[in-house]
Amino acid sequence: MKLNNFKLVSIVCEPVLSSSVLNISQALGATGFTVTEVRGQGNGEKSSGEIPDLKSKIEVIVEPDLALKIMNALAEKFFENYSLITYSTDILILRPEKFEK
Amino acid sequence: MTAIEILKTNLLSPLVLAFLLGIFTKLVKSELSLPKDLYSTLSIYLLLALGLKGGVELSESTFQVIAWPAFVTILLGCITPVSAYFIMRKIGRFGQVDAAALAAHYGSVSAVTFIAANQFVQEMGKTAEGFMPTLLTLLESPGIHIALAIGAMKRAKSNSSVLSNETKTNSNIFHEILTARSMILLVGGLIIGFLMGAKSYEPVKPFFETGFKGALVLFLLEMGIVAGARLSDLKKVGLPLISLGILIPILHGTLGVFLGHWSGLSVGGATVLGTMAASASYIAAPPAVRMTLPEANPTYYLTASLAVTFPFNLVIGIPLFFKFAEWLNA
Repeated sequence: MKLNNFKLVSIVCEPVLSSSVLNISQALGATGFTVTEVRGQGNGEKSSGEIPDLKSKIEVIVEPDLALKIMNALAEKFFENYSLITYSTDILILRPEKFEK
Repeated sequence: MTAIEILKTNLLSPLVLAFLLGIFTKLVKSELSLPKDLYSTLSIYLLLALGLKGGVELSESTFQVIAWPAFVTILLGCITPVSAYFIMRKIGRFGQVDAAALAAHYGSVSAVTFIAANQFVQEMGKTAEGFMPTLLTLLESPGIHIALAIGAMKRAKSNSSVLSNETKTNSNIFHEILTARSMILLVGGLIIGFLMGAKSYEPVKPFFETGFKGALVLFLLEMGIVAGARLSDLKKVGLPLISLGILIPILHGTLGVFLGHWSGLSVGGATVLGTMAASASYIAAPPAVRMTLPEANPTYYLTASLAVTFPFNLVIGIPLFFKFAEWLNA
């Protein structure tokens, strides 16, 4: 099988945002996601939930164009008032059709 | 019993001591923490047990007995968010959005505080009415809604609503509160208990009642750890909020005991209703507030509710409201 260039978009955010983040990325065309519970802290003053350093890490595998679209949408919606970071990494995957809508 | 003796009995109860141990754990920077899954399991167990028992007892109560207490509970649910909002605005000098966020917490109710109050009056030989869990569910939601509505209105007026099109609609929030873990377990437990009645409850009773107090001790230990983790934030929120975090529960608690007594509740019942009114939610309110009033500073409401009001009610508030209920009844 052939390796294909894709992007892994990672989002680390307050747990309360998880469902909104998933909704946005799926509405824009992401076909799946992985969520893990992580701990950590940034420089955001406003980041505090029931358990202060508990965060959700959401990962989606998408085509390069879509990665930027998702990241921009999240930035616009959440950067101002919430604790959320997002970054993307180049990855190589098999079965590209699995990640395309 | 004198006030001092009551206070001492409460202070030496396993619940309070476990809570203090939790705080101590954080103060000495121990790595101890309850596994998150155990914490969830315990809260599911406690809430379902509470609902089931309340439902069984509800099936044996008459409508006449519950009608007035239910009415004053809803009344309290409408008064407390508004009074908390104005106190935070006028005395605390908080901005509109922060005041509304705080009001949502003080208007709603903390189930753990409720259970602790129930245990306390039981220890004092003045067991509260069996339908108290029903009142708990009535008080949970109006407070959050009223406060969030105040916040949304004020924000719309001051036009800073860049996010207005993105915040959740009221029906979304309503759905979220009604389907939250605590509501499903409590209301579901109440309905199951009500439908099955005392006879069918017998076989499951040992599981839900024998372990209840022990589970509560473990839960309070975790609450202590969570509250302890917020102690360092006390400096950030400052003295005004700390004082109001004590003043508001005293005011709401006194009002709750008074209305409870007036509606015909026993000393135990009035104490528990007062404690419910005095308590600040820390499970249902924070996510609802975070989504609806994102500009509000979470450090304020979480610290006030977890590190000030919860410990205050647990250690001093409950005995205080009990004494007041006894005095009213005399």
